[in-house]
Amino acid sequence: MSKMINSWSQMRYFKLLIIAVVLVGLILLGLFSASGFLSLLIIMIIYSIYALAYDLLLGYANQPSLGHSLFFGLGAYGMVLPVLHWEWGFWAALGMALLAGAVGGLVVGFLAVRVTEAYHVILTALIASVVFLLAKNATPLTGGSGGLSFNVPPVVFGPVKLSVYDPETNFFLVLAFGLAVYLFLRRLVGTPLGRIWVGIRENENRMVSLGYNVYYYKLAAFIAASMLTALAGALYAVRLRYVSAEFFDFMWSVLPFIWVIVGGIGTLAGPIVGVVLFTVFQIYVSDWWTHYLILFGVLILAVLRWAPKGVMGYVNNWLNTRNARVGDKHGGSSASHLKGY
Amino acid sequence: MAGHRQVILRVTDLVVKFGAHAVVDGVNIEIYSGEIRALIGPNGAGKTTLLNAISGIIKPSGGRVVFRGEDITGLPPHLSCRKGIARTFQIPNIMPGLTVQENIWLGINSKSRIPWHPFQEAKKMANVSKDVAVLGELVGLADKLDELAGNLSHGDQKLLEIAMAMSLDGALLLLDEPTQGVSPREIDKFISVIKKLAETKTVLMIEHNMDVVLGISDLVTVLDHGKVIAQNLPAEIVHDERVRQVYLGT
Repeated sequence: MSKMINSWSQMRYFKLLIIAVVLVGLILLGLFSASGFLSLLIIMIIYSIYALAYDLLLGYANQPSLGHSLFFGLGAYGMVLPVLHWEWGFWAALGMALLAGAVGGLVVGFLAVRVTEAYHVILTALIASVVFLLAKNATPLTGGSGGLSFNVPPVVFGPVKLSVYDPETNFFLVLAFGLAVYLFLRRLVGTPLGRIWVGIRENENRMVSLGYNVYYYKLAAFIAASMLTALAGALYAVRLRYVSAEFFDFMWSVLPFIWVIVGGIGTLAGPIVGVVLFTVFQIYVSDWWTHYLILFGVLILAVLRWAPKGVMGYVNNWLNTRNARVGDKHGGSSASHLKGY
Repeated sequence: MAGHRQVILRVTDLVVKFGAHAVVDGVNIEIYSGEIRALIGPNGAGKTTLLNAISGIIKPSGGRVVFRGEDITGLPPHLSCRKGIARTFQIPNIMPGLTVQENIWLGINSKSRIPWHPFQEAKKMANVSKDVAVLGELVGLADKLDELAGNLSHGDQKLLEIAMAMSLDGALLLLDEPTQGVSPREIDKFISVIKKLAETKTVLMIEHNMDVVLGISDLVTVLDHGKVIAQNLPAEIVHDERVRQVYLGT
């Protein structure tokens, strides 16, 4: 293993190998797992999409939103309402969910991107809280806290019609979306736009002096993250066949923050690791202690104390240090390219 | 020189106030194309504030900044950069978590305006990679392109800043104390780099090291309490009684 990962190109192949192994493992689990475990996997993949979207915003474009429940809820209602009221098909409703996320992202981002740090946190949290209250009270439209149930239309691929009521179909549909989002973001962060976001994260003022209008780039990140969050919200509503005003609850704004901080900010694998850790904790530890969140709080403190960049940040640092040592020993470069990819 | 070259930057009656206090107080400067102009003066004279006002980081309280015949007074920094004004900072202002080549790349990318290339990997853009290598070579960082910028020595970070400013291919470079904190044996490297870039650019440079000022500048402007108190050739300025009094201390 140590020889295998002694250069960046080998590290790239090693990472691709891990992705392939995880993917094959998930496919096998999808084919052979009991429906209960499958349901857990579906939820974790949906959460992972949400976490990846949030990491794009926080970890790459340095915007600590605490109001992303707004887009999660918008995505869910964007999916459910057209099906419920106008009998739209799956793809059209999903398109509406993404559009709702994009428009919501544009409107909120137009204001929120102008402010930074604590002001950004407060403004996004405030806007989401107001929408949460409105959604709770607009019962005829949203169903309030009681929510709305709906029949999910079949997913049409040409002549093939698939029903998400079948757990395996639902799993593979969600897995396909999860994989697509991961690969899309993996590519995006390496493009000029992705590198500009990382530059803004590293030193926003310098980017301004380099001629970048950072407002537009940050707004683009905000809209992209909002759309992907809406996708997660839509898939979650499809999974539950239900939506309620509680989708806008503040908890849904805090969760992605925790996933990203624990798993590894500014990495793509980190948010997924954060989701797995948190969900496993939530499911299994809560079985033997109701107040499991106290333990999770301790876990967060421990991670922030010993691995401030999260689990994957810690792993990447370890690999970078190790590679630098190997590079020095062999007279090579101590290249550190892992960050951001 | 003034007779042969065009004025590239004209600062007229420029005032920058912080509250009631005028840090820059009615400054008039003309910089000629291809010139290396040194800006000297004691601490608190308003030198960096003047550079900030020219580059748009601070909005002036009064006066005008005209660059290549266009009034750019109060233009935001990203727009003044696009007009052709690039700058460095007194304290290295880089992206510490990115590699040296990524830092330079961000400048080149800004100049070439190709941010919306949806599926092309930034580091595989052949033309950009070539420019990064050329600039890395020019400032002597060719063998450190893969290192994290935050791991470079102070001197190398200053050189990286110059490379980043050059990557923008602007007509005017504003250098804020390029040799500040640099070890004496590295100074020659900086002098050579600045001379090299002055072959194609105009340079306005704040500098405290008089050997550097006298060695490479065409003209020296002296600032004190926000006002220009003298302007002359390097060889003459050291004999100016007022300059000796307020700055050189002899």
